[in-house]
Amino acid sequence: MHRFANPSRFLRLSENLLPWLVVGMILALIAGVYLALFGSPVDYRQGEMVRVMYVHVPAAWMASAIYLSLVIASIISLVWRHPLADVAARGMAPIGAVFTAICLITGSIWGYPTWGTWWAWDGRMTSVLVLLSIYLGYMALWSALEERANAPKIVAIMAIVGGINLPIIKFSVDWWQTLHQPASILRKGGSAIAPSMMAPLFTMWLAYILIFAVTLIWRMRADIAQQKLQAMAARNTNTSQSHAILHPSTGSAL
Amino acid sequence: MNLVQPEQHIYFVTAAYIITALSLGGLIITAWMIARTWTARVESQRLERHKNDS
Repeated sequence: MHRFANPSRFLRLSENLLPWLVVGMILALIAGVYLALFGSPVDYRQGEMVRVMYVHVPAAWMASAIYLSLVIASIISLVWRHPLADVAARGMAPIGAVFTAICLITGSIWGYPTWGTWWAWDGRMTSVLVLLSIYLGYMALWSALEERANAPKIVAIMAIVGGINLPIIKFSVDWWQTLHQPASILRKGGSAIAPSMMAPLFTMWLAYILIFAVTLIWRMRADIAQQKLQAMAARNTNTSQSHAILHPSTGSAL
Repeated sequence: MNLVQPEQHIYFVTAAYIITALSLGGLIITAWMIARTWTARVESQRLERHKNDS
């Protein structure tokens, strides 16, 4: 892992990997949308509304999985101080926030025709809304503390504390049995979803994973470039100042 | 009581897909633009330094 924590190596590796990931993402998206809209059968109870599941459920999985990755990156940053761990964690937050927002909005759209309400303060919905606020809080904290040397440490601790919400999201449907349905795939006794609906669901999930990978790599590359530019600017300033000290009579830095 | 008739479901499905497409499209385009902008800035800075050095 230490071998890949080098930013230059990451830039080289990601440059070679990106075209393949982008092609895979486009293909998986086309296949996923096709299977979801035309390949999936209509549900006997929910009718066409079942098609919302293919955008909602993978978004919910991604929202939690990305936050788990953010917690792991934060732990790596705190314990081993890997230079890429902070960059990765910072890049994950906006992507996770978008997936969480998609999950909440599509869930609301699915909820109205099936439950008769856009929103309820149900355990699952509320804990996912809390997840969105944690993502936004994390991003706000980063931008507020950007100039401080101990910012990565403070933000990493905040992210790890926020991880308490993950088991709450997972088990909320068992602890508070209100409106949201219990787990239908990862549950005792096997999946409750028809195999014909699994293909579009998992293809969309794959497309979402690739979107996450591609956008994270782009964000990390941008962050590294930004840091490089700041370092260059700082070096230029230092050189100018030293020249100014060496040649004060010129009145300007060389 | 069902508030929404089955023939209206298609509108809800369309809305969910449009919102998802716009959000993910925005996410992808923003990330790509940010990466392009910053790497281009680093490259131009490097070229400028190279020019100044020589």
